[in-house]
Amino acid sequence: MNLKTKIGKLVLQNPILVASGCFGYGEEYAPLLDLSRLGGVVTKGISLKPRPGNSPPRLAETPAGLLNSIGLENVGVDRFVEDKLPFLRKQKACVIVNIFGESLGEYRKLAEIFNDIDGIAGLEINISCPNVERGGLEFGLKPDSTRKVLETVRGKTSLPILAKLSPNVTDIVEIARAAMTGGADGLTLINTLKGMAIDVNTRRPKLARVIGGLSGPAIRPVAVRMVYEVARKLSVPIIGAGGIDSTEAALEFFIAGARAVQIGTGLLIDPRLPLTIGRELAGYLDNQGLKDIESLVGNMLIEKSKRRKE
Amino acid sequence: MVMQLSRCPISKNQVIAPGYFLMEIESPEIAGEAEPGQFVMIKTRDGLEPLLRRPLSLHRISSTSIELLYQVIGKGTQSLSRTRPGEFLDLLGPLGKPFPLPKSNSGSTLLVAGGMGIAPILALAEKIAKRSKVLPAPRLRQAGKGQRSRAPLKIHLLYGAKNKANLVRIKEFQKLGVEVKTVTEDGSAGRKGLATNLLRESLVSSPGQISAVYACGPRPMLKSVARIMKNKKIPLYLSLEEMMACGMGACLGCSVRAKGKEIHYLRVCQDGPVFETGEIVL
Repeated sequence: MNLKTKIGKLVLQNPILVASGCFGYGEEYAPLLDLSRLGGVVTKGISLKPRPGNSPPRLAETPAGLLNSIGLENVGVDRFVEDKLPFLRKQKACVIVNIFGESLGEYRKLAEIFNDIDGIAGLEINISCPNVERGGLEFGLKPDSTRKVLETVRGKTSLPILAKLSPNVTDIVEIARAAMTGGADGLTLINTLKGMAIDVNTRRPKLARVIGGLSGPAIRPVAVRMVYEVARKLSVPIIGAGGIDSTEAALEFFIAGARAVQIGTGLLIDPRLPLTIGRELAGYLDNQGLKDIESLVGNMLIEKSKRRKE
Repeated sequence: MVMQLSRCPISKNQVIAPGYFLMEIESPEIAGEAEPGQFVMIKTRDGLEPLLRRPLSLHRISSTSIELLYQVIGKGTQSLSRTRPGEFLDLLGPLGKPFPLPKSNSGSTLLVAGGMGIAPILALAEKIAKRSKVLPAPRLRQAGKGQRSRAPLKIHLLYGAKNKANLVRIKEFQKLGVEVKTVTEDGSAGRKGLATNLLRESLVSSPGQISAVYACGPRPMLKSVARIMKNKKIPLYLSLEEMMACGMGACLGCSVRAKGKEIHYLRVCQDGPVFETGEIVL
């Protein structure tokens, strides 16, 4: 079964990737799964300088969901390139580096640095992290700033670039269009939804930073809807993400219009989930009489009259 | 350390005190690699509630199985309490850094436990006791006489809990030859007080040298243990409890502040859960 998929000029051997933030730099998971069998490894968000992250507690479990406020703790670009990237390369992983800046200048610099480094398949531009004071989501909330970040990165790299978008917006299609206009090769939909939880006994917020990002199956219907909306209105390659915890969940995204998917929170529970989904996906396509993943993408059966009403 | 991810059969899941369960899980793979102080991440049931695995410290390690001690508190421990022998649980482990053993095989070692903090302490006591039996105690040349005498390692458990019903597993420690002292917050068993009161007294009364102090319990207890032991020049190891998501160092969710001027965090799951007191800010 051919599971090959294309996100613009980025060619993936299979459409199951691991999402940024849940997979570190790959070292921890490597004893449990063969990184070269993943469609792609999206690294922890990398910034120009190392970041310590937010004060704990950084996690809270909610119904079918997980709130986090890690705050982009990462080793910074220099140590990433020196200490972390060689390992990923050695594992023959398809590496997509997630980059994060507090200013356009930082995004530009990061794009420049990675453009000159071998062994990177693409960049994912993080303009959607809700857990930082500056940068991140700040850029991804408006079409104008979204486009500017993408133009800035595009100007400095020939690598395929993906824009990872936030669901915390009024109209995702508008932001998606701006990202593509700015030069993105594809979109990752969606980052976490802003959320919070309170311990009623102590009357304290469960996260030290009060508000965090919600992930997990709780947000899946929102993510599927956003993939569907963007796929319908714009003809752009999409990587779907949001609460994928099974093959069935992943299939929803493909049918809604995604050409690949990322597993995040699901990995924390089952580290081998991406490989399981990859295997079962092939079986599903067989059963449905489809010859490849391409034939499934956006192939939702719906009567035309209903589609018009949406 | 070789981490395993596998479905393992439960061989025992018994109530040992109101709300307390002792679970035994067969896994020669995990048991063969595990050391006291390490933990496993368990998917307590299939489905979405609870969503994440739960970290449980190893209460006892045999050659083919591990034992876990848990108190039913939240969704995770509730679903664990409903499982039966013969059923399978999805385990990831062993994870984290183990307790370093006392460097010296003589003098006394103090184990300080508060509430559920008792869980990893039994495995540690067993390991220390076993080692001191296997290794001959150092022979001390007594001054002037040229005679050799043995001064074996003595293990003391200083154990505090809310009330009598929450003091568990004492006999298991006594069987190992551990000297057990207990206190309760309400005075329903032994004296009224906290485990840290026992620690203060032991430091004064303990004859001979204290080779190491180990503590596991609520954060305020650990803080207070660290304060008491400050400048004592005795190795102090603290085992931290923290909510975790991945349990193996990737998600950076279970952070604890590292000591030092610059803000920097360590991962409880991977850099801990056992820390030497100088490594972290509690």
